[in-house]
Amino acid sequence: MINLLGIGRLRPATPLTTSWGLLLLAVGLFFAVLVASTQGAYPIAVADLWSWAFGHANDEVAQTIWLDIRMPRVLLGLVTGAVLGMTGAVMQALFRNPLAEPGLVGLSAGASLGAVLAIVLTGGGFLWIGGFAFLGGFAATCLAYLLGTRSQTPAGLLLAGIAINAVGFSAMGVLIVHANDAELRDLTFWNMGSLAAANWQMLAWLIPWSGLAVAILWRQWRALNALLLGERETFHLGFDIRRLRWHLILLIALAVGPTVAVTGGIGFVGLVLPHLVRLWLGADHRWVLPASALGGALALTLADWLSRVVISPAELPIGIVTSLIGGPFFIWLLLRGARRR
Amino acid sequence: MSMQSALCISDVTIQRGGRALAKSLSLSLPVGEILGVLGPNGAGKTSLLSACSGECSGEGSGERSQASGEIECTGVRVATATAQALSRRRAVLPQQSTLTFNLPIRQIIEMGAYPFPEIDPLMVRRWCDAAIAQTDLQAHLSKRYDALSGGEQQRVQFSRVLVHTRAIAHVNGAACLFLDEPTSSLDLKHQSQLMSGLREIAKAKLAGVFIILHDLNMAARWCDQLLLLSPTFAPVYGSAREVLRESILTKVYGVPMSVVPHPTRLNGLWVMSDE
Repeated sequence: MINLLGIGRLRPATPLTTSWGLLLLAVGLFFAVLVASTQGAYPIAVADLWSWAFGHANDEVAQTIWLDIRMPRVLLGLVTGAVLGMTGAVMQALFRNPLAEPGLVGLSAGASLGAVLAIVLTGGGFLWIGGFAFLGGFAATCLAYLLGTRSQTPAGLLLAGIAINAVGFSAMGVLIVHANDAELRDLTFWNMGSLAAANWQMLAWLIPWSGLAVAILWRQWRALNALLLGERETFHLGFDIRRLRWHLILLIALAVGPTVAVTGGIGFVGLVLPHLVRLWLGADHRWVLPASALGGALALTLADWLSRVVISPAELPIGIVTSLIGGPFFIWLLLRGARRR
Repeated sequence: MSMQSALCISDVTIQRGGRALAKSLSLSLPVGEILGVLGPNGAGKTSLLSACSGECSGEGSGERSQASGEIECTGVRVATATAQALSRRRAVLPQQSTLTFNLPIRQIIEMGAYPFPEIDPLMVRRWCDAAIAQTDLQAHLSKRYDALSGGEQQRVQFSRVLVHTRAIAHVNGAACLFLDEPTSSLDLKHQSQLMSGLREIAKAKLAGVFIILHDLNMAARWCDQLLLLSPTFAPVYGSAREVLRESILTKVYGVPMSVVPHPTRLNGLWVMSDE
């Protein structure tokens, strides 16, 4: 059944290559943050950052823009990208399916539905929205797992994902009927994915929350490697497969739910990045997980920067940018699989 | 009892789809011996292996089989043991494993030591090298797993299980090793290489070996005790001379069978179908 898509070309990845790879990604991420936080409708000189660090505030407006508008947004993109990249990698191992990803599987739709439900029922409040988004995402992932793993081909999971997405979005549509024009515009924008809602209060809990979930997921790299062999083999190697499954689904929903509640649906990051990382560094989850997180953060930071500068001073929803890049990649994956069969 | 028991089964009945397979079965497999499990398709060989290796708690896809009775694996009650405790007692080689994504061959083999994170990685690497040499995989180490043939993949998985067995024996003294038709896609050379490898493990008192086989002659050649299962008749358990009898085999397999003295090996048996 497996490897229909023939992904995961083997590269003899030595520990040296992998550590250099991670380092390279981290450095790339640093520069991406630098670029994304300084470039935009109001350009800021990188040299200014340096002088601000030593207390010379020469341009108050620029400083405020950088600190209160750009940086929260860039950091939100970074966290979201890291969460999506890593959960994508985990889901591909857990579902034993190269096409698994928060968006395609319906997790994002479930979380969005939960968030909208919370907005309609309670009128907002981060705790409610985050909690409902988690519940919605969790329910959607469980459903996708139950439906998707019944069929022995990757297509089964996609079909389950399509169904879950359809139900999620139409239920959201029913709820949105009652929204007024302004809310409607927000919701539409939010559905396409946006980082514009970022602020420091939100990041103050989102960063530690996501960081914790991602760290706990990374600790499962052995179990995820064993899952590459199959569920029986995973059990033979000492992992309680049922507990492991719930543990992973719960953690994925905990990580993705709140981020989706904030950013809306940002597709394809969780699909594309883990595959690129595997092509580059091999499939060992010890390195795939952190590299996917770093790569996801890097990709989303750059995508956010693109979304702001392409039609500046207006901006594209970031979900559109990631889908524009990720969609063709997805088609390439499918074609590649079809050729290999 | 002078010898430690790798596997102890008492009064075990396997239920599958409302049918009782292997009714009230009792046997004991000491460390150092090889038990060959034989029988036609649907006799419950794999179900028995699943029950003994602790898989029967509803895992595994497809039809569910259930086991009643007492099963102990190197002194641990299988029914109540956790996945982790079991993995530190027994190693299992399933029929065929496919990988979602290709891992390097060496890494797949070293996964055998996952249940024992406390073991020095250098030692694991040594076991891994030994297993690679034993299964003739040196030339394939840099290949992709999905580019290997079925037999080569089987040898990779066998190597992984060898490392697992070594690790268990290193920590607990002896393991119980389960293999489900490990020779099904191997050529003749690698078949006998695998069987003599198992013989060595047994001889070194590293494990008791539970192996499902289809080839009766291979079973006669390498196994210390045999268990012949059948969908309709009661299981037959004993030495090769006790189990491989014309009357029993003809009845169980439904084709006329002959058993004659082995043409080249002293005291050996040669089984053939007369059709």
